[in-house]
Amino acid sequence: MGDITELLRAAQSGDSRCLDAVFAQVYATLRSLAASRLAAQAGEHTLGATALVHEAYLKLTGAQGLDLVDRHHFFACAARAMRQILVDRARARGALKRGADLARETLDHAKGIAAAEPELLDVDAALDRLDAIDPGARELVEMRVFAGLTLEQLAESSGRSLRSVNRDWQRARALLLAQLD
Amino acid sequence: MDAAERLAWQQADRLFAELIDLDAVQRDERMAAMPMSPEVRHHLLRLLASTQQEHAWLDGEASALGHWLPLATPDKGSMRGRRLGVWEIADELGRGGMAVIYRARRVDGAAEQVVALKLLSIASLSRNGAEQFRRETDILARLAHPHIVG
Repeated sequence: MGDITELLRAAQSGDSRCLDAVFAQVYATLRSLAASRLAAQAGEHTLGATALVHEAYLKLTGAQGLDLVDRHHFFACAARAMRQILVDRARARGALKRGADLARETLDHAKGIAAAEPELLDVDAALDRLDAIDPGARELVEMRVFAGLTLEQLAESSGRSLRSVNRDWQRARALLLAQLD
Repeated sequence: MDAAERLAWQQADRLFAELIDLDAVQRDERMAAMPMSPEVRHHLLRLLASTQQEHAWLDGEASALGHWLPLATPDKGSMRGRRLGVWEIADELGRGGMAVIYRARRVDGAAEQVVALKLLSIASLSRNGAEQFRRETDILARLAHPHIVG
């Protein structure tokens, strides 16, 4: 297993901000963490995606952690990996879910009236469209939504003002919601 | 998304960035002075409209996404035969991130009745989940049908 700090440095100096090797390592760690939680908890518990991402951070970076720039890139990769894991699972559960549609018909109808949350797979497709328009906006949404980072944390790790990050967030948010239509 | 479509969104995004901090009147004035194609205008209006909408899953804490997360490996037999109030749980009909739905049978002898019983999962106990459940029950309460139990 390569050292995550070295991999992140390599990613920074290269063209891609998220080197495949970093993504692969974070993805594998998140998957194994998710699997161990599932095995440990019988019954109906949910996984906290954000908690898993932060646990993966501790596991991969050890006691010293990373400096701010590396940490920012780590969470960008981890958020993308978490999105992928959730999407994989949602697809795998697709057949099961379709079976439940009949029972949920009334509730789903009610949800439509109340303008409830979109399906994860719809958000995933909207994020792909967002990536085509502005990859930075896609990354920002992923880091907020799948790694649970606050705008304050994002400002700190990217070395930018909160005001500037907040503006980017307003734009990313608007573009994403438009792609969900 | 083809190149032309991407370009239209990127243009709308740039104009949107100029309008974010303005109030409604200033926005309208500024927009009127901006040259843009009908397509870009349409996109821009959509972007502006989204600033008026609240979306708990996007604007709240990240844990609002809890219902997207998979439940643990289902142990479908675990609830069978268990009694909740006047209902005895039979087989599982379906599950989502928020809840599991079971077939249940009335066992207090009052009437022969089979219903779909929705049990909320841990994630649904969060603030957003509780709110959504309350909305659902409000709406369900307004529905009247011989097959819907009050």
